[in-house]
Amino acid sequence: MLYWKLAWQSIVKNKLEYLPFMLAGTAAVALNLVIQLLIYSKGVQTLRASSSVIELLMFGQVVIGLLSVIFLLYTYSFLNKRKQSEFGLFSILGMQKRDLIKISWRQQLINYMIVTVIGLVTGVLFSKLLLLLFIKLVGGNNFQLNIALGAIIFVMIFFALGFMLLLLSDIWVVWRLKTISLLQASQKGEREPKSHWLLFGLGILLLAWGYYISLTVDSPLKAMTMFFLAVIMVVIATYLLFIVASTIVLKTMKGHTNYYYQTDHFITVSNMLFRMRQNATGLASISLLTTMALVVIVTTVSMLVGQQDYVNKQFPRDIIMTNVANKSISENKVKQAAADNDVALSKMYHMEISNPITGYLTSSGHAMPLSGTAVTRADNLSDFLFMTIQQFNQLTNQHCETLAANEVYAYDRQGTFKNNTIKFLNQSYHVKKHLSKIDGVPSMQASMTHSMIIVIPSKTVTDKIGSAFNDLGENKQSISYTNQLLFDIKGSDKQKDKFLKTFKGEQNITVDSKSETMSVLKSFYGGFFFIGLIFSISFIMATGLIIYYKQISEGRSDKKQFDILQKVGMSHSEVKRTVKSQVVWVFGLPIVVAIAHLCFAMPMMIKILQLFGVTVGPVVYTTMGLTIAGVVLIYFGIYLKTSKTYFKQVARKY
Amino acid sequence: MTLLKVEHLKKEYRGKFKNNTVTALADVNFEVEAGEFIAIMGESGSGKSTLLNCIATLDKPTTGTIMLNDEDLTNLSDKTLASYRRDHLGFVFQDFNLLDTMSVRDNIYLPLVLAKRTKDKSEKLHRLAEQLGIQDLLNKYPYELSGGQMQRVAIGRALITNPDILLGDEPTGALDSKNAAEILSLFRKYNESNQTILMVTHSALAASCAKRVLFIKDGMVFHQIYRGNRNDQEMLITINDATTNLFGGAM
Repeated sequence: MLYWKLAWQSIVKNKLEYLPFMLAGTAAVALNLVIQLLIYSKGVQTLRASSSVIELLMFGQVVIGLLSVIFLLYTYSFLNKRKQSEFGLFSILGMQKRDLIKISWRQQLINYMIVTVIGLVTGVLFSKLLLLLFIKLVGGNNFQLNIALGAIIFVMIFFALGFMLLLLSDIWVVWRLKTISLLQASQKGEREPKSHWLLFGLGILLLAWGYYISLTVDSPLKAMTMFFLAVIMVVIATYLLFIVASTIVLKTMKGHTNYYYQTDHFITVSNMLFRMRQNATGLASISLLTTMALVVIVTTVSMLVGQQDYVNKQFPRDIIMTNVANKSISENKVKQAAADNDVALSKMYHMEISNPITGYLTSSGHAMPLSGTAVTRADNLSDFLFMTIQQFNQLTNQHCETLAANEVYAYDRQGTFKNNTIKFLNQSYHVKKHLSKIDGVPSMQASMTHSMIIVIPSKTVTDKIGSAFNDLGENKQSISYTNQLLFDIKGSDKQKDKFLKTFKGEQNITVDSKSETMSVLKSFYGGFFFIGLIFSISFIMATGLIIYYKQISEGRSDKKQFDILQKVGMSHSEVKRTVKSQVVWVFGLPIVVAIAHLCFAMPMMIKILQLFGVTVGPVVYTTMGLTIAGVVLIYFGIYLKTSKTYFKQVARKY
Repeated sequence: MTLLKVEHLKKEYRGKFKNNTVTALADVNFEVEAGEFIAIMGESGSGKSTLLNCIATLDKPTTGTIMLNDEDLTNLSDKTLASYRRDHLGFVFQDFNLLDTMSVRDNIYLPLVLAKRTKDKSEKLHRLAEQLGIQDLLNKYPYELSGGQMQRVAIGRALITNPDILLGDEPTGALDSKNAAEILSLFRKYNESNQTILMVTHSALAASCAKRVLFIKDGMVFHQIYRGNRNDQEMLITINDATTNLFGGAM
């Protein structure tokens, strides 16, 4: 009983440290339960693309599960110091290590009970709401939630293991405990940090380089490969600059005596100089995590918003029928089938376009067959599709356009090809016009490769190229044409299904439907967005709370300092101002840095999104603005609360 | 000229339960002339620190008045207290109370910066630093200093605003005898140049440097000794006799 009592009292006594820990734990339990319940819910299981959605949720579960454990460990680390001194005291009073562990496991059991019970209840409450949102996003229509026992058991076991880990860390603390060091624990003064100009220069250089890469990257393919490099540089730069530049800036401020010896700056600058040293890495991490959350929100929103656009581009009409054997599809047969199934077809048109051949495109515009040595870099690879001018005129309704035998139009989907001539094998063609789009041509599926459509005077061009182009496996690629029939369709879903089924068995004919593609994409991007959103919001809240509690525990250790200042004649309003400007730095800096990172990452992200067929439009910029505003608002709220609590802690009565 | 006048000062602390009050000061009356050097002695718990805190405006008395330069400190509003403190009072504490995040120079500048009186601050600093013998320490940080050096810096911080009165709370309490003697001789030197000093101590040796010693017992001024023509040795003996009589030598 004594052990239970001691365990409980220690929790109550250190509630300021236990609270953030419990909060993080509760939130983690709730979040994990929500995802579990979603996986088990009827609504998700009856989705058309249920297996891929569940797979996505499983992926989210793994990520969030891992993050939960990390957060739990991190917030628990605030407690470690307290725990050490408490255990030290107990052991001075004659407790053995065995007894300390007895207290410790009881504490963890209490923590576990509180965290899981509250977490499970809030999780169930929230899952109803989140299920609605989720089903809405992935385009389902069954909003039924069943509280699955399996989900609850999974979460309980998962967190039981998590708390076991904490118990192990406690045992580690007890095992290493040296009573004597506790008695000698005195506050040692810290030396003023030095300015490291070399590292500062390196940090600036890396940051500028990373930003420069993002700003100047021209092709989506390059963006993909360079993104990683840029991210690494910016991450290193962020850590370096937080650690080094903060000291340099503050020291410069200190050097300007007119600025420094003013009431408002004097205390803040000299405090920050020491504070940054302890907090620089933490603040840098928080900046980067905030950046990550922002990037996740912006990309998932872009994908969600862009999917419609993407599908519209891929499907100029509701249905695309393709005959790969280069035989035109009989319009009459299709119309007959439509009449049989009571569906109305409209805006029908034929299109003939070549299959893509892959080659190696030099910067001077020479397209060559692939060979082992030529393909040194993936971004020199290019897909070529051909289309006759006749077909082009039909599509664009301009019957007057003509091309001479050595002339072509070039349409580069990525918009990077700007040469005046293009050379296939030994034959040069003059690029008469660079097209920015060709109406009615379905865009290709998202792919990593650069691709172009060449409008040629006649098929003799492709005949000449013949089978000279090969794929990487040295197989000859002969250029063949496919015929497509595109049309809109009207009718009930049932009728449409029936109509489409009539072509199932046809040889060489494939049928793609816009609505089917749309619903698959919607469940994918919707689910992706949902997980991104939950992840980012909980992340931003969590980092905010962590700063809050870090500041509060700092406030406690700053009490003595502010006590001196007030004894020497600092007024309440001056204390308030100093506290505010100190705290605003700690909250403001990560956010400002995160926003800067996001803004500079945007050009690169836009390029990468293009690879996935998403064009970034005003909606994305609006979400970006709103997201930033939201994050600033959340942080501002926590900031106000923090500076208030901090002030209360350090203010003297008189 | 009377600089400080304490009349019927009473301070009660209310305990957690309403009818449980502790009287720290019952009825304290005394006056301090400008240029005096006064030591206040008493047992621990006698209320001497409470008395100093009330004079320092760090604590509010229950009743009674404290007049400094004909201004009643007990009537000052919370807002003016801080500025009054930094403009008229100087503090030296037992545990020095220097800010670890600031260099010696900035610690001494602190009250000037707070009072926005940074004009010709460096002349003031250098004059004081020379008198206190800390010229070489100005760029160091408090944790690099010995106790005696820290207390000298604290004296510098207390005196840089030319306070009406210098208040010391056991200023030699944390020092060894050699450093304590040096600090006391500094106090005496500043007193000779007309700085009024009021210090609380339980060390008879420290008190023997003062011109007058007040003894506090049961929350009242019980006894006082004027130095008169006594030298340090005679003063010390007189104080020791008085403490033996008053407190049974328990100090």
